[in-house]
Amino acid sequence: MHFTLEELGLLDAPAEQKFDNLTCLASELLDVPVAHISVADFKKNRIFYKSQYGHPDELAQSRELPMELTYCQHVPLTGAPVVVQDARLHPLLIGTPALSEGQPLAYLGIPVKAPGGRVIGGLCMMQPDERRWSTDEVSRAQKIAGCVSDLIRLETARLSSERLRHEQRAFTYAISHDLQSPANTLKMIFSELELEGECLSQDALMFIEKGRETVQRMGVQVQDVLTYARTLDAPVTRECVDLNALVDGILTDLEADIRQAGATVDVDDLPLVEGDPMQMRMLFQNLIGNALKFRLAGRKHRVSVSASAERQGHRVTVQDNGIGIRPEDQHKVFGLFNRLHLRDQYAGTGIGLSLCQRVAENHHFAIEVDSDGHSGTAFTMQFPEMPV
Amino acid sequence: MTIDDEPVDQMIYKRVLKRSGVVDTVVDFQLAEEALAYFRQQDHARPDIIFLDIHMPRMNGFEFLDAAIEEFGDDFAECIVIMLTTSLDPADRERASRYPMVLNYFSKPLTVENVQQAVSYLYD
Repeated sequence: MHFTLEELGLLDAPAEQKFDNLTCLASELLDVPVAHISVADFKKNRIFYKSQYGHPDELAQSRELPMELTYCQHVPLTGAPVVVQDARLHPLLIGTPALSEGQPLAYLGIPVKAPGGRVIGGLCMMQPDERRWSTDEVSRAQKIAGCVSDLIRLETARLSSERLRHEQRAFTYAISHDLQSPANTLKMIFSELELEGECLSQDALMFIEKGRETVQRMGVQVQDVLTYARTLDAPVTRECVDLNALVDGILTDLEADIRQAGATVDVDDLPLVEGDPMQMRMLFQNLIGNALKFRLAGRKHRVSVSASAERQGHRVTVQDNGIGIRPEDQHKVFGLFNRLHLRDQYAGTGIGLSLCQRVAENHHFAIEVDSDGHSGTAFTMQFPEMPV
Repeated sequence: MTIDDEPVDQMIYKRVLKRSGVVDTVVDFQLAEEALAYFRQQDHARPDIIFLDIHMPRMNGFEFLDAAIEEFGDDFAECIVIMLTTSLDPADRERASRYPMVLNYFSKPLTVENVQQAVSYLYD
């Protein structure tokens, strides 16, 4: 992907510590009073200083110079290191406006590259009096310039991934919407067909019923994809979440399911954790919902939510005594749309645990599954300590 | 033999297969593991054609083929396998083509023409 110097934050952008560190390091390592990272802006015929060390006040303020007044222009123009022992004698500088009273005599400019190899500017070091730069010194400067190029490459990679994520989100929304609308049309078609009920065979009526169920399921699936996509890039707010209140609320919502399952639900005293309240709710809703769903016929169903304090935070476990997950299937459960059961046995679209995994990733904690494959399942999360 | 987790699809396959007029008996499984268990039985009737879905819970179509080859060998069913799937992923199609017994790859829904084509492979 291509990004402009502006998009990369290299032109008319504030100074950044990561670049300033390297400029400062260059000045110390080569023992020069002035060092900077210059970026060539050929459109405006100027040099912009992304990072600077030891510049006089006026230049430090403006952070730019007309191109012809700089030595730096020659680094991107030649695409090679510019090594100046005495500016008064250097062929690139003699008789040019760059060489004026009070300018440094010694100068070392090393190319800084954008990904793809284009030289966009330089890491430059200079001092008032002349200096013979040793091969060793040039090689050190080149190593630091390499680090500057690496920073730019990293930023390009970060922007690329941002852009891809953005495109992916737009794509998901578009496709979900495009699927939702024919599904709605089909729903209406089935309703119209049903009105013709008395003229239709039993067979035809059965197909209409199956059709309606299928379209209904498609609607749920599309909704689930949208929820997942939203969680994927929802900004995570960091608030103090009381898991006791959160789980209480969820159990109230699930009252009917609990009664239907004939399940007992035990809840420990749970900790306060830091996180996004919406996403935390989604996490526990899915885990508790699953714990209630995958029960074993004929066994009194029990679900527990327990917590234990750890050295660096809290372990919270949602456990059931249901059908369990075979060890060889456990790696599949977090995969998007993966299901381990037929729909007529256990309903679902296969997105719940992917959502949980996503919430955990958004919050930088791990979620683990533990089961022997027949006597129940436990999902454990390791929450970091609440910052004080 | 049809292997597909979707009950409505299974029901419709049966009707299409019957309508094609070239199929006598259909054995159907919603889980690939059940199909493996079938092949394990002594004197099971050997199917001529397997229509195999890819995305299924627990064991997907490819895992089924791997498991069947591993357990019963390349000629596990003396038959041909047709992948029948909604997968639009070219990687799935490519992967399917690497199995010697997979002779074609149909996109759902299954048509009578598909069935006739599949049966014609038996006489090639």
